[in-house]
Amino acid sequence: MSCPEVTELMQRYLDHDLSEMEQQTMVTHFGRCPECAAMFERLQQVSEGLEALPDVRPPRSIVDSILPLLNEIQPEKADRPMPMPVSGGKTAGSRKDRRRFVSRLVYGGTAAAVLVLCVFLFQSMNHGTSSVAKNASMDASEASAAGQDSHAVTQDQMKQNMADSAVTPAQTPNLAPAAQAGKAEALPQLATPGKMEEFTSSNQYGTMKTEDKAKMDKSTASSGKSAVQPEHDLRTDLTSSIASTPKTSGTASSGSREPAADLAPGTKQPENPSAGSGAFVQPAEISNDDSLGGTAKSSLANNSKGLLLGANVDLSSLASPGNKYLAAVENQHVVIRNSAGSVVFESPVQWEDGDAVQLTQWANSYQLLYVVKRSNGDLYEYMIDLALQQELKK
Amino acid sequence: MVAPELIKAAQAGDRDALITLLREIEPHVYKTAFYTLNNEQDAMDASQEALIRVYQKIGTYEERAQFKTWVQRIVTNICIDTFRRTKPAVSIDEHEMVFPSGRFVEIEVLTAFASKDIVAAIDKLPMQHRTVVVLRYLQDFSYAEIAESLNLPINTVKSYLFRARQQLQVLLQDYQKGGVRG
Repeated sequence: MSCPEVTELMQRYLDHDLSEMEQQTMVTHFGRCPECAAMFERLQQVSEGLEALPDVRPPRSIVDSILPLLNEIQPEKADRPMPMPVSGGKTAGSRKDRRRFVSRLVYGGTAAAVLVLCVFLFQSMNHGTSSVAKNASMDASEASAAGQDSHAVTQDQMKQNMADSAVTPAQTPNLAPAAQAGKAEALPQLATPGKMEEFTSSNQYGTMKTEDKAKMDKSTASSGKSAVQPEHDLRTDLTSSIASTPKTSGTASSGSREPAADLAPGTKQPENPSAGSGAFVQPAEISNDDSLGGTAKSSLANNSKGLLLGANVDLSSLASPGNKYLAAVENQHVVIRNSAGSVVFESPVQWEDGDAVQLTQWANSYQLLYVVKRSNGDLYEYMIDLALQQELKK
Repeated sequence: MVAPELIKAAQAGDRDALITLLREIEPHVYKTAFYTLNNEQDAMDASQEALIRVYQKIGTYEERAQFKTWVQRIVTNICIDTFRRTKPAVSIDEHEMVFPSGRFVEIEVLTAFASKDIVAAIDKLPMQHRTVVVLRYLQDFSYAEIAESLNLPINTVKSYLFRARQQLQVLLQDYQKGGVRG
């Protein structure tokens, strides 16, 4: 890989946009290119400096200063709302050039079937606590007590359901790479009881969200450096591994891992500061965590409004290997969020109400497949590539 | 950032809700304006204008977009206009690095570069690079959110951000080596 290509990887690393395999490629390159290693260190310093920029506050209340003026003007009526363009990756090729999709079964095969089953099981478990979910969708904060009560029950139900179901790690195709790689740190993915517990156990996630969102919401306190800290630690790890790379080119960090490690779910992903939390928020979970402050709660509710506002939500959602991303169909288009709840990709295509949008599977940690069955019976398959930030029609 | 219920109430004509909403977004609006314009007075003026525009246009906001990106779009557009009006066209080499007399909430964080040097270096970036950096680092926006705020393709956002960091790295390295040009 050439130095300019590695430079792009460095840049994407700073935005937590690198797969583990790309990260290994980058680190391996540093082992034989001290210039790039030095450049990486400088860019990292710049990025850390930018992240550490202090919060600023207006010297006096701006709203107070404009209140007299606001009394004289009236908000405009929304006769004709100005739509915001939906941004996102480009659609590849002309949308008129639609072909019937025939190879999905071959491509997705059993993996898709098992994953869909897992999603179904997971959702059915959530339905088990549907009253809590409903409360959450109406008022997350009010539901917190109920959510707390049902927390243990939910976990038990999940364990029971998982035990009852025929899905075992060995039968989940996506787990195969991890099993073959024999990695002690590779955790079972999505369908396993251990991982499912993470979905319900919101405490760890809640803590992370509190810090993250407090950073956004509070204007008067510090700028939330603690939320950034884990990332710094991880970067330090990486930097030190880079430093030692020339001497120990055979170490794990310098690329001895198999490419399949990228697919190994649960593997440490340093580029993602919240990877450790590993769980995405679900309606019932939001209400579970009573340690959140009022502000953080409302921001959680706001942040995950797609999940909370039942009317606009298609419940189908699919977590990527390692739970780094969560894809969901919201308002008839596919939205992918990271573990912090931020939108990382939004499909530029919004389907009509009669069309069925079904998330098929994550081909790997950054490529999502989904199919759309249109109301006229046409079937299309799309692939969203997070690395390229593009959506491609297959 | 802002509760959807508050936005809905404000859109429905509840003036108190609208004022509360403005108070909630004020710090975010000011932060973007301050770091984009690098000047307290300009930031105050731009923030005022942005908040008034939010007040006037709240009825036109649609839920399809995130509210925070809608707000940031308004404030960045105003900042870009302000910049065009007030700043003389200067090249990177000619522009002096001047640290603004902003009201920082000082937090000592050990980094390779002092915040004032970084702020001064940001001020030397072209406007479009600067807005991307501010949204990425001061508002914690993702590529997609920046793209939505600035109405740019995601690849353009990435390109601006990558080039901005590259430029900052060069500027700050020069600074460390013994002062700033100009």
